[in-house]
Amino acid sequence: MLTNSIFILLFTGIFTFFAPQKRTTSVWTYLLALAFIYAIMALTGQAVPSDISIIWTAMPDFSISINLNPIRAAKIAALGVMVISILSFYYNLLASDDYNTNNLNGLVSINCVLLLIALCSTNYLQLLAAVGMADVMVYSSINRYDSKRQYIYSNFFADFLLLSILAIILGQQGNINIMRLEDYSSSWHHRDYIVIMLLICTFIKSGIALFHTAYQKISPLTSNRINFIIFASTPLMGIIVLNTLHGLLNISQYSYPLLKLFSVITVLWGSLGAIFVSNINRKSAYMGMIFWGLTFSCFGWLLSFSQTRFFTFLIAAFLFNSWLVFVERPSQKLSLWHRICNFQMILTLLVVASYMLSWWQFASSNIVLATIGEGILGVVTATLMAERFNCLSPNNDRLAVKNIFLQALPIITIVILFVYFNHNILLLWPYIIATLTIWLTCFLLNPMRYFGFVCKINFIQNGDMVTTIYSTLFLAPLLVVGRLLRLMVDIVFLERTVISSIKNAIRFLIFIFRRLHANSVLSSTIFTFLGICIIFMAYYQGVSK
Amino acid sequence: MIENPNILLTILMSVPLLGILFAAISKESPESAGSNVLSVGILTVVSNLIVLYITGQTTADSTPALQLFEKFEWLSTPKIEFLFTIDSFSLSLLAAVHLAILLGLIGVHNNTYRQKTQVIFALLFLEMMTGYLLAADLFSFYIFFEAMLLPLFMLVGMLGDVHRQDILYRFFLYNLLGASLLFMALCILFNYQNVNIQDISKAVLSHNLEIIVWGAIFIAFLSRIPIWPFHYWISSINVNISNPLVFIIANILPLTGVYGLIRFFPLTAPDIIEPYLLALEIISIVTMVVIALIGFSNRDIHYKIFSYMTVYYILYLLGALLPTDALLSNIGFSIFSWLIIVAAIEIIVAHLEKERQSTSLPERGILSNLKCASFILSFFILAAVGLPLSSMFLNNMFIFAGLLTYNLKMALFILFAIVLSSINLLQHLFYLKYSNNDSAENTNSISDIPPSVIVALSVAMALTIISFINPLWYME
Repeated sequence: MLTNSIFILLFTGIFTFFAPQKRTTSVWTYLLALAFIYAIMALTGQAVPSDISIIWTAMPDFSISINLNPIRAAKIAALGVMVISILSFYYNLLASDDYNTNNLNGLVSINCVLLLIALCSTNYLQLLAAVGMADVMVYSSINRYDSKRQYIYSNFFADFLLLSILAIILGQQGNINIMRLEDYSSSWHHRDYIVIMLLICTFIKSGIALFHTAYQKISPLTSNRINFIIFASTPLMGIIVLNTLHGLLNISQYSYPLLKLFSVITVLWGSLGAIFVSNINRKSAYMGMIFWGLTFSCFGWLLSFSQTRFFTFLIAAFLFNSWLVFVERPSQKLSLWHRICNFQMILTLLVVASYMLSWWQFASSNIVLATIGEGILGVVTATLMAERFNCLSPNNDRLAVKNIFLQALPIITIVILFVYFNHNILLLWPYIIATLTIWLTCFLLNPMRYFGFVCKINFIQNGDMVTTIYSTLFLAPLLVVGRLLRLMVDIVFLERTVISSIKNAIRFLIFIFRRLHANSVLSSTIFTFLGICIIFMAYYQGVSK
Repeated sequence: MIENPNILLTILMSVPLLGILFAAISKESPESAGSNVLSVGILTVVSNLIVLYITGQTTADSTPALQLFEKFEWLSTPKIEFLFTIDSFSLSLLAAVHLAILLGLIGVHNNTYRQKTQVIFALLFLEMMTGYLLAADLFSFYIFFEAMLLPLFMLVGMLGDVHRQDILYRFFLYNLLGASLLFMALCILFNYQNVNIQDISKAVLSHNLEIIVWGAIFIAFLSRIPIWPFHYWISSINVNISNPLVFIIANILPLTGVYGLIRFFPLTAPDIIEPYLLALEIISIVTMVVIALIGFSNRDIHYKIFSYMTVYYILYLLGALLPTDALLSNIGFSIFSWLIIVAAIEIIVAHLEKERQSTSLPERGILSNLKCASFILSFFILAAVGLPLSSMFLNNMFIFAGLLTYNLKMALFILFAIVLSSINLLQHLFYLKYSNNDSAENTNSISDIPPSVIVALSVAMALTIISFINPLWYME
């Protein structure tokens, strides 16, 4: 039962925090992986979904039923989430420059639990709580302040947008059932607002172009953390949110055009960034952008979104990114033929082939989209691999030889499993050979090298256009308005005008009374006159009554 | 099971008085450095929290209906009776106020300057606040409403920073206005019908008198809430107070305004002031946006906290003014976590400020080497901005749902102000954590939060998480 497995994963994740950080990391990772394998077996062995749910007493007259049993479609997604988490553990263990492996593995485990909770959600509040808590987990896994800052600003804003649209729906419909979302189009208001906010929220979470700064800022982290964050955490949550609330996309005419527009911009932006930026971690982040852009394009253009094919594509993208960071120039002593035939090259071909094939499978129902995507992926991956095979590596050869088998293990395993479960794919062998030939030609010729001058532009390497735009157009005016308001409202109006006037008025009154009470002829005359006035007034009032 | 649970209200009122007595007669030697009187203060608040827990367990259920009643006859001619009662809403607020003051007392454990005075006035404030939140008749309500100003006035006068005379002047000016108007309104109401507070909206008055009375009551309560132009005296106190206990007490004070309005108009405001409510809502929302913007451009963390608190106080006020009482429990549960969170943030900020002054280090990056302080402050700020770490998360969503349904355009401004004030806090967190230069190495000379404070803040963290999982944990 998944409910039990979720608790096992949660508690194993929490226990891992308390494990010594620099010792026994392998043992703890092994235990975590065992817990995950148990969860996978429990999920695949569950023939009939049980209807166990946890009642969350959130308020006196309101209880929320937390559903922890995935429906059939979400079951595959749950498996995909667990597999990608196991891959994250594996690469965390391999990362020699990351010292808090146990801590990170614990966060990966809890993040996986939250993704599962989001996948199983049948009400908004469960979804919203899972999204928010996952943000806290990912925030904790980022170990650089600058990266943390950008991440939490963006995702806090995204969470608030999600909260606001769900609050509108809750306020109008009066229920929190996701299944009832389809009814929203019939009679309720603010449809365009809801859809646009939902899209912005998912764009921010998945790092779509113009909202991608947070994922560019994580480039100083180690590559295993970058891959975990890009493929197994918040961006994936963004897709889960979009998929769960996809019923809302039909209520506005703007939803699909916006999805298509932003996905195209993202793929182009990501491709240019991956090719022209020199820093390998930023390249990795841009590859993530291409992946999420392609995924969003499937939401925009395809009639149905296949969970199985999406997660195959996700795992292939994850493996490609991990391999991209690892792969390095083979020894210069080798001939060109040997360099192509060596183990690294074979693995590279395997990784690229699985990446491109999984995309083809994912988008095959729209042949134009699939072909364009394939072309872009082919050019970008060939250029990146050509660069990697011709650049100097910081690692020495011995280390590379030692690690290459460990790096190869998950790739070979996943590819064998992929072929085993999709043996029909082998029928496409002419297509596969043709694609790989084109790819190899592109790899050897590397046509993008003619645009090498672009890489020398400092702005491309170090500039952050989106942050500059945000700072100039949004933050700076807010700061100026805030300072002006402080000056005008607090200091000029209240302090210098109102309070100062009251102070002066009180001073003036005190002055008058002092003068009246002074021992002088004038004050005696005034007081006598006032007394006479009061007597006359009292007399006339009495007479008139 | 207690035979007469109504007695719990009397105990709740008596414990702080007993604490004041013991604190006043406690002996202090130079060696004890105030620890004796502080222990009395902490013990008093903890004792009352236990009584509150028992009260929560004793009440039949968590519905907003009034549960326990305690009556004292003071005068027969004119007939003046003190009536105290409690419901789940006031129980939540009482628990939050007690916990916030408890954190405040723990926060000043190293501050030996006039510690006896601090503890005595803090307990006096707690006593007045308890009385105010339990009061169900006009007379006791007014007495506690005004009497709680005395301890704050004294604390600001004694422990305020350089501009304390100006602050006290504003304090006096604004509160005099509120006090006079409420006194006038209550005298008229008392003269016409000596009613209990829950029946006050049913009082029959002539048209002009109704306008005068309800207008006066509204202005009196608004003078306590930082709505323009009344925000100025509260912001002046916040910016000029570095003592965490006084800061927390000063920030609890606006709660009395929100609570007063909720108590006087539990469901809807009287028809006579209905046309003016729109103007009030507009002023409230403009205030939220203006204060959030000022907080955004201001470097002072105290102003940022004030800006955050103002925005949330107005949010709760607007939630309470909606024509429904369904949100009352949401407001209560949200305020419970919110006050604890703000008190905890203030304690850490005060500790950092003290350390900074003693080491003359810059404020930027001061947290970079303080693991405990950094973790705890991050937790509370993430909870404060509304991530699912406290009862604010879910309950605020219900309040937003009410506001967004009522008027989307206005609610969007409210959301903008909330996002901005939350970003203010996040901004300062990273300002404290992230250092651009080499000053991070120098921060090794700064000491982290003392263990006793860490324990207290950890309990506060646990309470906020529990309040997220089950906000009704202290009720049967």
